[in-house]
Amino acid sequence: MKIEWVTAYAFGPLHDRTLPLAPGLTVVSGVNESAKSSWHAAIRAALCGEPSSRHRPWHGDSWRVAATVSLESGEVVYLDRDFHDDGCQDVARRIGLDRTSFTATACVDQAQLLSVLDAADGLQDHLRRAAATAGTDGTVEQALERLHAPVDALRDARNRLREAETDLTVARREHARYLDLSARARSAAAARARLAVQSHAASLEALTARASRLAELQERFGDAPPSGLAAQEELARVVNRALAAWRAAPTPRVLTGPTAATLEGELESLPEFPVGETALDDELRIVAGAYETAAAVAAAHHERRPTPATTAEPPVLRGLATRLDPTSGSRLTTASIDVDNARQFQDEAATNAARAQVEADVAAARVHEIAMPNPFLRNALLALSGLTGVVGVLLFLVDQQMAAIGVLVAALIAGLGGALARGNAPQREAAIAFAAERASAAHQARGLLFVADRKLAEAEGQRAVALEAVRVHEEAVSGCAALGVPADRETLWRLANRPAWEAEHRDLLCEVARTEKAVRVELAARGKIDPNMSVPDLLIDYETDCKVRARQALMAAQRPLLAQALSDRRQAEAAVAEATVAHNRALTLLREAVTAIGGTGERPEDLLRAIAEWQRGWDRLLREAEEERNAWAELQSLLADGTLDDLEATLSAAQTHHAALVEDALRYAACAPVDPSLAAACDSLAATVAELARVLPSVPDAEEAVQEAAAEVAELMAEVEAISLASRYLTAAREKVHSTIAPALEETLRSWLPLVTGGRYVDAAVDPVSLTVRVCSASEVWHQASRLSLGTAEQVYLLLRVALAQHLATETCPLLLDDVTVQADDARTRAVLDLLLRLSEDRQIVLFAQESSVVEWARERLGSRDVLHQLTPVAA
Amino acid sequence: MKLLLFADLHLDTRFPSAGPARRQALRDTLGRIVELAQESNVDAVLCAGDLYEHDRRSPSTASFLRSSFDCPVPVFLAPGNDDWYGPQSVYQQVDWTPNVHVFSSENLTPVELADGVTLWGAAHVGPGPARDFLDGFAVNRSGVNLALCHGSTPDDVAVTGLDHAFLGHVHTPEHAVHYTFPGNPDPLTAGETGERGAVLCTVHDDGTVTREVFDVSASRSLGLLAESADDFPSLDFDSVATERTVRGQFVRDVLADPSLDTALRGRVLATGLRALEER
Repeated sequence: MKIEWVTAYAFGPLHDRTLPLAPGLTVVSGVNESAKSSWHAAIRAALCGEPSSRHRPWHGDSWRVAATVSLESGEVVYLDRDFHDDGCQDVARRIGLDRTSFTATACVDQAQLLSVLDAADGLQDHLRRAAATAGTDGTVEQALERLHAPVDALRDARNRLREAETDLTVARREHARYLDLSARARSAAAARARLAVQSHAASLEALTARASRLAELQERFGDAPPSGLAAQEELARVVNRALAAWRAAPTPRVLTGPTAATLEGELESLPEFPVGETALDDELRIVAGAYETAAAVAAAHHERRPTPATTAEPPVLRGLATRLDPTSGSRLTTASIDVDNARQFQDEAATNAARAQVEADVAAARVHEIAMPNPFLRNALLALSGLTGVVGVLLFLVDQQMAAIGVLVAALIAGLGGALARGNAPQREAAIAFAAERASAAHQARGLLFVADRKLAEAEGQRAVALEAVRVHEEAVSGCAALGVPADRETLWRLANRPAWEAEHRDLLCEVARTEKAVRVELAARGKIDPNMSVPDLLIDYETDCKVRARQALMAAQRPLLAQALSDRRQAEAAVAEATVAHNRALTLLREAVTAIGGTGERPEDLLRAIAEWQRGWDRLLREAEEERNAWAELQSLLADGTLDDLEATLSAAQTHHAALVEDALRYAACAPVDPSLAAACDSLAATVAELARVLPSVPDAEEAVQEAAAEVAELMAEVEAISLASRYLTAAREKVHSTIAPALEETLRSWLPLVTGGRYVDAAVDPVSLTVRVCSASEVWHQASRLSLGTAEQVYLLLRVALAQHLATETCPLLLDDVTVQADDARTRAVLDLLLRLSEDRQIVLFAQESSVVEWARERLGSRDVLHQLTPVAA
Repeated sequence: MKLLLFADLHLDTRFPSAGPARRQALRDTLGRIVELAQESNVDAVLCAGDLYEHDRRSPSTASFLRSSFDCPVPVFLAPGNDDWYGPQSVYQQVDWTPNVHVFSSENLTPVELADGVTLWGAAHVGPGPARDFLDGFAVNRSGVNLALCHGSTPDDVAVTGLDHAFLGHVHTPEHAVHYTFPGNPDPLTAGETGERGAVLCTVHDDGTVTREVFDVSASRSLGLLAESADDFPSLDFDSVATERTVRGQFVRDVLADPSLDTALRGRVLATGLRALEER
């Protein structure tokens, strides 16, 4: 894009002035107040519009500039802007910029240059800013620092949401409680209204009944009270007194059993209590028992006295007793029988053994008789039979029938011989088995015979022992007979022990005497002394005396009981006599009462029946009289509260009130039947509902608060997400743009730097991450661009501005430089101007300057594509 | 006979914004309906349910309704599923004036509006979805038979013997031959369309009904229905996207990402560009 010319019709101090611009370098020079800045602003305003208000025209209302711009496409755009109504396009957009980015990209002023030169990272910051926003705003790094998630705000919002939800829960709970209480209060009011109706209905009914009763009683009595029953009351008292006496009188009791006189006779006939023992004394019983035991033992021992008397010595008697064996005879008999049995068994066993042996011998001979079979012969015959058979068949096949028949017959005979050669083998095997069986039977029979022999020997031994015992016994029996003593072993043993028996018997007799003496002492102590009587007789006598005394004592013990029975009998007979008197007196009163009421009768039941009949009539009279009195008292009581007219007036008022109550209760007709007890809580429930309603939180308010808080949280969550995504996208975009812009900057620097530095610097590099610029000297040493000399730094900066403008704009963008050389010395100024002149070969450059050195340089160096405008001060 | 029909006022409901003012506006709307009834000399006011919201009703709603309906015009109320009839409902809590009749049965119950004109009404007696009261119902009276209840769209009104059914529950107005949904008279949610309000129904002798809708919305007249502006004004991202800068690359990348929805894309662009601004 190139700017052909700019006309300031009315812009600041400029009026109807035109500034033609060269396609190369245009130097606009002028001292202060020559409107350099106004022309700079006018050019920008002509291209993009929206000038600063400080550039309003000094005179007149018109605020207008115009310009002609030619684009690389050949299109020429004429712009005529009236800033009071600017409808022209922003021509910066035609080259991919807008008015803001155009200013940042195409316009270079002194302040920008100084900021790059003065600050250590000014150049890097400028590049980042340009890469990020074409210099219009901040860098990506600054943007990322600003993108902080609103953590605190999100936490606060969540807390507010929780609080709102809690408030909503409370509000809903309280609301439900309010609804419940309201319903209960309504039910309570209904219960109270219905209860009031019921209660008043009862009182109304009572009032109605009272009025009705008053009217009835007044009509019945008028003003006169009822008459009484005074005449009948004396007769009733007589009857009542007689009945009371009759009921109080006891019925005389009929006594049974012995009379008092009989009991007195029995009492007199009773014996006195006896003196002495009434039962056998225990001590006496003990000594008597000892005596009886000792006497019995002595008597029993005497029964076993050894008899008959003999002179034989005890050892002889003991020897005879030892040899006596009364069972020897029977043992001999038994042994003889055993011998006979054993002999018979031995004979049978011998017979069996002989027979078995014979059979075994026969069986063995039979085995020997059967010839042994010959397997070789049999096999040979069978083979011969087969061979001759084959030969026979062959001969038959060759038509030698006769020879074939002969050979076949021979084969048949050989086969039969072979078959028969096997015939006696089973018979021999059976014979062998039978012989083995018989041999086993013979062996078994021989075993039995051995056992029978042994048993026979044992039996004969036993019989010899028994025979010896019989002989010894018989000798002992003969000895006993010679001594004149019985041949009895027990008798012999007793006779042998007679001295011992006699000593023992003496001891027993001494014990009997001792115990007898003790019994007699005890009996003597009880008065039983008679040496002529035996001790048993004395004991019987003593026991008889004890029984007699016991019977007497038993009879004497009846005396207190009989005396008590006599006393009781006497009291009972006295009570019966008294009851009889009272009964008779009451009966007399009854008869008098019955006579008084006009009845008759003699027996008590007749008298009572008559009185009961009279009483029934009397009770009826009494009830009627009582009713009359009560009705009169009721009338007086009713009249005490007011007259009938008063009561009817009260009744009318109550009916009116009742109608009002019913109407009130009908308000609650929609309420279901409720518990009447709820009526008591009516006022308290109503008060509770009113208080609750006063402070009841609004459910929709609470819900809306939750909605609002939730929306706030959602908004913040979305913001957090947006921040996260924006950070990610910005980082990614920075990487992309830096990766394209860094090579472009490098390329520009690399191509221009040796030229503008006179070969001092030959290469350049731009870090795509940080956009840090480094340059390489001719000695191949790399330097940070920010650390170069001011003159070189200015040149590098201007080259980068050109490169940025080239990169950011879609076509070549003119550069507008305002006083960029004002702080530089002559050498730096010339270096910059030389650079600009070279750069203007590819783009349009407009330089505003005030130094005379610039004018001199321009006059000296500008060519045909360039122009120098020297401005004069504008009139105020 | 002229009847003024409305339904689904939803007193005490919640709103996304300006809740207290909107709830007051609903009460004002009811006041306008009653005023309209008296000015139009209608024979009765019919409310087809959801007059208020049981779960949100404020303590003052009961007295407000009693005073609102304390007028010379007969009022017939058919409780809906949001203001169901029960011990806790306003319908049982309030000592209504004699001109107010509340239908309290689950079954359609007749009330004689005039000689030869019967109004059948029913009530929801518990929470739950709206039911079709006309399903299985059959008229057993002669003359003109009308119905008032809160329920879903009926299959066939004529088969019941009814001449016309006045219904609530459906918030979008629908004026069919044999039934009328007046819709909620005051908008409750954004984007509610249709000619809504109180419907003045003229019942002719042959049972046909002609209708005229009156806008009674206090929220609308008070300017409470203004839609909220977008959080992120649509920016001219296209011009920025042409830049050869990081900013332009950022905009291009974000605009090209198909995984982002429109709202999130706008939010990301605004966030990133705002961060790049040197302010």
